[in-house]
Parts: sequence; structure tokens; C-alpha cells
Amino acid sequence: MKPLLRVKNLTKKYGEGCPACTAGLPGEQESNICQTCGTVFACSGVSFDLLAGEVLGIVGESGSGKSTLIKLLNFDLPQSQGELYLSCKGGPQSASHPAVPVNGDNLFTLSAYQKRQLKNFLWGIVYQSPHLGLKMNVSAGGNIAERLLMAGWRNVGKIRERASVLLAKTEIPVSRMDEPPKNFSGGMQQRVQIARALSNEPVLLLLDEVTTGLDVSVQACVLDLIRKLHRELGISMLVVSHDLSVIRLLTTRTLVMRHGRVVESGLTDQVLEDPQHPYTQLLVSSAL
Amino acid sequence: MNLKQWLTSDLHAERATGKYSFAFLDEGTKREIRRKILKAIAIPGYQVPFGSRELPIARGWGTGGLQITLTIIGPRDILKVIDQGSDDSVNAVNISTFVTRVTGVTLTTDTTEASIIQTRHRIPEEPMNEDQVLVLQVPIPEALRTVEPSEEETRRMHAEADYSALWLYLYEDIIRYREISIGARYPVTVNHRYIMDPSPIPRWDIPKLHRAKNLFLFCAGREKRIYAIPPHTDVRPLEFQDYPFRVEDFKGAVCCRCGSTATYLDEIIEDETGARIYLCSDTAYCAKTAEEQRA
Amino acid sequence: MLKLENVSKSFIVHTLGGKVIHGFEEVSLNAGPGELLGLAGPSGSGKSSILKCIYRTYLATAGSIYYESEEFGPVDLVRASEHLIVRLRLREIGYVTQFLKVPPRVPAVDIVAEPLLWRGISGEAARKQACALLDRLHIPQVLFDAHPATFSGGEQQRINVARAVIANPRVLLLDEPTASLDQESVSRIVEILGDLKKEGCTMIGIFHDRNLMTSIADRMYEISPITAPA
Repeated sequence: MKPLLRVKNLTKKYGEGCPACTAGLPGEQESNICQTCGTVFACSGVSFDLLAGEVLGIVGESGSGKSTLIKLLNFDLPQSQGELYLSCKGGPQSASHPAVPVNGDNLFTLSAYQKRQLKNFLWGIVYQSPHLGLKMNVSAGGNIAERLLMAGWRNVGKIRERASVLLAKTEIPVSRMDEPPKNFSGGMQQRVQIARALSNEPVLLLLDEVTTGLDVSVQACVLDLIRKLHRELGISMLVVSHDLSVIRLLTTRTLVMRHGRVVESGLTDQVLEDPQHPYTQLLVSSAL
Repeated sequence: MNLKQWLTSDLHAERATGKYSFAFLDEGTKREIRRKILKAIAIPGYQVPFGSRELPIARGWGTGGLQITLTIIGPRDILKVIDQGSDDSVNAVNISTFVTRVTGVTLTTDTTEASIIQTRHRIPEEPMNEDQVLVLQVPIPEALRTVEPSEEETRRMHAEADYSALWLYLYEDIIRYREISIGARYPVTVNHRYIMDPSPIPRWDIPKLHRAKNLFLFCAGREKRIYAIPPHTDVRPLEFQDYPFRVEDFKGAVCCRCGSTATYLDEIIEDETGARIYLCSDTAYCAKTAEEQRA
Repeated sequence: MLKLENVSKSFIVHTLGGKVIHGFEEVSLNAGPGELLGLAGPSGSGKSSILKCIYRTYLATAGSIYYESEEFGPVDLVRASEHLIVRLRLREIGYVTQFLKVPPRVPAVDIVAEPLLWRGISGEAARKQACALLDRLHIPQVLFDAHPATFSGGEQQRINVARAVIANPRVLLLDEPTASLDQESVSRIVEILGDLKKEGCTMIGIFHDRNLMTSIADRMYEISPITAPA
């Protein structure tokens, strides 16, 4: 089965690089800095596949490179090296859009215009901080509408109808559609982000630490919503978290990252109950 | 040889003599601006940066429009200069006096007679033809400035046709006021590609841009940008299917001089009586109509 | 249907400086459709580990586990790709764990209905089936919409069993499914297992009650530090 998303050798480095580190850092080095030239490898040689309908977890501590990875996948940062392939027909929205290229091209080589179309139609991202993913002074409905407008919707009534559907799906009272998210609670702001990410019926959802910092009850609510959406929409997800219980709850497979590298990958329950790599064992045994 | 003789001698029309070259600007400047104009015409609605020159008029008083006029004008052109539709306002007179002094061209108030019309914030009521050029003075050339303060960012947005921020602004207007509240500087899409600021002309004038026979040249002297709409170009105001663009509604007001109900009207409060009267903004057309009615 | 060949499992604990802990060694057994194989042995002999290796929660260190999949044909669960295992877990292999692990806030009936939703059965029909099953297991109706975290150990265990059996798996792995239950509940579970047997389900189970196990298992497999094939 061809994977939905294939990442090959994704690397992000800050610094000039040198002959010692052009091919990446040596295997078991204990840091992500090249000893010769001081180049920092935020992500180093990350490769993985994501199948349609799958929820893949990426777990690691601060500085592991997991947030950098998501940013690279969302074209928020330029990559130093690596290839990215997407294989899908695209959602119904993108079916007639000429600029959405899939099936074959390395997505990193696309023009900025094409990348933006791709992002708009094929995936949605939910950031840890709602301030990154939302325009706080624009109404909640407007935040959702922005992606629809980018997709070419030009009928206010239809836009509002779609926004209402999405708000209902993310359990936000539709009466608050015209309020700016800065008036909402943290959990509700996250749900607006989710609604916005879903606006153009994407095939992939990128979730970057979406429940970190939320109150426990709110976290439960958001996680529940994510599980429900996965089951109802069959949408594939990439879940980044440092919280092992979130990973256990949401994901079927997990990658463990450390110093910008993937040190272990496998079925989530296997990684959490029978960790092979020393770092994973340390991580799992340290969890409360 | 005096200036008049010099001007009537075709062979020397462009040669610099005395203290000023023809039309004040030096030849190098004219060449650059002409090239930029050609580029602007080749990419309808796209803002072309140019080296805006120092002029005897301060920035913010029409130096952009003036540079275009001085660049394209020839000895046999007939010039009309208006400000808010009026030939008689101080700024219009100032500019037309200057141009005629350095070129010797004939001045007119009749839109149908002029070959070059320089205007501030209005398009004349009478439609123009393929022999005429309208030069518009532009304060802020960037249509996206309302939603994005960074120049680097707006350039990227134009390059990538990433206009969702502007559409979002319009959407928010609609949910707040039940209509788009922009009065002047209403954004338009030119040739299905670039979103353009048509300068602070009223909504009334926007339909005149669409598939016109004449050339439109826009220039911002302070902001140093030139852009153009070539003849027969598709120019559409931004609108939603269920909230279409509409022009101003004068609610039956009538021009007190010529009786017109089909022109853009200025509302004036009389000094003595305090009464509200309406007057055509395009004063020359108004006078012409009133004249014809009397005849 | 299911065949283990010389499967071994040992753990290298890096946090203890690389110490090696042996789970079990050289286990070979098989189970066929409609058969219940009981795993017996002293505590710590690795019975749960064997089940976990089959389910792939543990990675076997050596050997092969062959399974006749309905969808994929013969596969070796030890070497199969993760995507294959995920699919098998969703469709064919069920597992009753020792402890109930559930997401927060989800009511008991939805937890039990979930495997059906994954099979494409509609929400309403799935809930109905779940309610019927919970009823059969004598869970009081008032608890259907409650969250299992608040249940007693016995009630939690019944939810666990319900969730694993509701979608009629082809293989069922049971890890102490009757541990905290009273006689009444135990007999209901035995009844359900009996039904599954008739459907041709292959079962491998660990039961703390030796007598119970010998009564319902078709065969037994004894594990001790020195193992012998069944």
C-alpha cells in the first residue's frame, strides 16, 4: 500500500556545515552539534511513512526536533535537505484545482504558490499556541473563512454555512461565530484551530502539542474531539507531543526523537511497553 | 530663439536648450519613466517601482501624476488637469500652469478635446477614446496596505496571488456592517491577476475602468510606483456573489446647475443659508450640459 | 491458525546498565480454529509475555509466529510490517488485557461500541449491540453512560472483555479475563467464549483459576523455566 506521506532524509541545519558533517552527524553522537564546525542539526536524516487513515505520534523532549519537523512539513521553515512525497487524490475541494500537484513530485521543490495551495487544500495544522494559528482580532468564523476564501469561495452565505458546520463539529456554539477568538478560553481557541484546519476537507492533520498547557478537563475534551474526528472522517494525523499519555491515547504508531534524530519507531503500545532504545527506555521509565 | 519659436520647430522639439529641457524633465528621466510605463502596461495592475524625481511641487501634491504627464506629453498634445473633477481648483490650476509653461501646449477644460488628462481622485464623466490617456495621481499605490503594513510581505502576496487577507477583511466588513464599507480606493482585480488600488476615486468611477477604450496610467510620486490599465482590460471590483458591488446612491438628488441625476454629485452646504445643495463634481461637463440646455 | 515456533523473548534494560532479563525461551505451540489453548505456569514464567508477543506489544527476540490471516494469507507476526499489524488488530485479532486502559470521558457503552464503528457499522446499530452485550454481562444499565474509571474492578474487567469480543475476532488473546469476577460473571464470560468457539475463533488464554482453565480449555500448554512443546 502506497503511503499517504513519505518523508526521506529530512534535515534542517543551522550553520555552514563542513566536510565532517555534510552527510549528517555520526550515528550515536550524544548531541546535535557537529564537533568540527559547530553546525546545529535541528533535524537530522528523518525518514518515515504515514499511511492513509493512520495516526502517527512523534514524541521527544524539548530540543528533540519534533516541532522543527512539523514546521518543515508545513513549509514554515526551509529544509536543508530532504524529500517529501504525497500520494493521494486530494479531498473533494481540491479535485478541480489546477495547482494542487500530488503523486510524484518532491513537494519541497514546488514554488511558493504551489506550496500554499497544497497547504490550503490537503492538510491543516494546529499549533500549540492558538496565537500562532489564529488571527485573534478576526472573528472565529473569519478564521475558518480565510482558508475557504483562499480556496476561491466567494459566497458569504455558503461560507458561513460551512463555518457553522465546522464549529458544530468541534463543539463550539455557533452563536459565537462572529466573536474574535481572543474572547475564548484556551480549549475553545484550540478547537477553533481544529475547525480552521478542517475547512477544506484535508487528508492530513498536523497537531503540534495541541493540548499542552490546557487544563485537564479541557485536554480531555480536545483529545476526545480528535479521536472522534479521526474515526468519523478517516483523516490521517501526525501528533507531536512530549506527553506519553497523549501519545498512547491518540496514536497507533510512534516515532521517538532525540537530538534531531529518530531513535526508535514502532507500534505505540510496543514502544511504550517494550522500548528497545536506551533513550526510549529512559523516557518511558521517567513518565509519571 | 524664444521658447515659442523653439517649440514650433519640430526638428528641435526634444533637444535641451537654455535652462530647461522640454517638459522640465531631463531626457534620462523621461527614458526611465517611459520604460517603466511600458513595463506597467505589459503587466496590467502590477506596481512598477521607479526613481521618482524632485520637482518644484512638494510630495503629496501630485508629483507622480506630474512625472507621467511630463514624460508622455508632446508639443501637439492638448492637456486638461482636474482635481476632484474641477479644472478651477488651486491644485489643478497650479499643475496646469506649470505644465503649459514648460511645454507650451494648449490647455482645455473639455474632456472630449484633451489628449492627456491628469486627474486627482476622479474620472471624468464623459467616456474617453483610444486617442486619450488618463493620468491618475495616487497617494498610496498598495491595495493591500490596509491589511498588511509590511512592504516585503505585500510584494510576496502579489507575487504569489495570495490575497486571502484582503478577502478576509471584506468578509469581516460584511458580518460587521452587512456590506463592504470601503468608499474610495475600492480594490479591483485587473486582468484576472493583480489586485490593484485604483487611487481614491469614488465607487461611482470604478465601472469606468472596465474594458475602456483609453489607457489609464497611475503614478505615486512619494511612494515611487507606476502602474497601468491598458485599453480593453478586464477590471472587476472585489465582491461576493451574494453581496455584489454597488455604486453610491444619491437618492434622487439633482445637480442644481444642470439638473443631472446621472453624474457623481458633490454635496455643498451654502454659506449664507446653510442649505444643502448638490453640484456635479465634473464641473466642465456640468457647464457643458447646462450650456446645451440653455441653447 | 496460529503457530509459534521457537519464540524467545528477553529484555535488555539499558537503564540498569544493559542487564538482560529473560522473558521466556524457545516456546513452540499452536492453536486451531474453534480451539481454546490454555497457558499455565507459575507467576513470572512469561505467560503474559507470550500473549504480548503474539499481539506485537512485545518484539520477540527470536523465532516466528505464523498466523493465517483472512485478509493477507499466511503472515509471520514477528516480522510483519507495523501497518499490517495495525490492520490485523483492528479486524482479526482481539486482546483482553489484564488492566483496563481507556480514554477519559468516554462512556462505557461507547468504549464497547468502538470496535464496531471501525468495522463500518453505524453509530446507532453499534450502540445497540454494545448495550445488548453489556446487558448479557450483567452491567447495570445505569452505568452504560458512565465512565469506566469509576467502576469496580470486576465491572472494568467485564468492559474489557466486552470490548474485545464484540466484533467477533478470529483470534482472541485472553490475559486473566476472569481475575476479579464472581462466579456468576465468570459463567457468563465462559458462555460468551463458548459462543466464540462455535464461530471458529482461535483462543489462547491465561486464567488464574487452574480448575476453570482445565475445564474450558481444549488443550494446555505448561510454561516453566524449562519449557516443553505442547
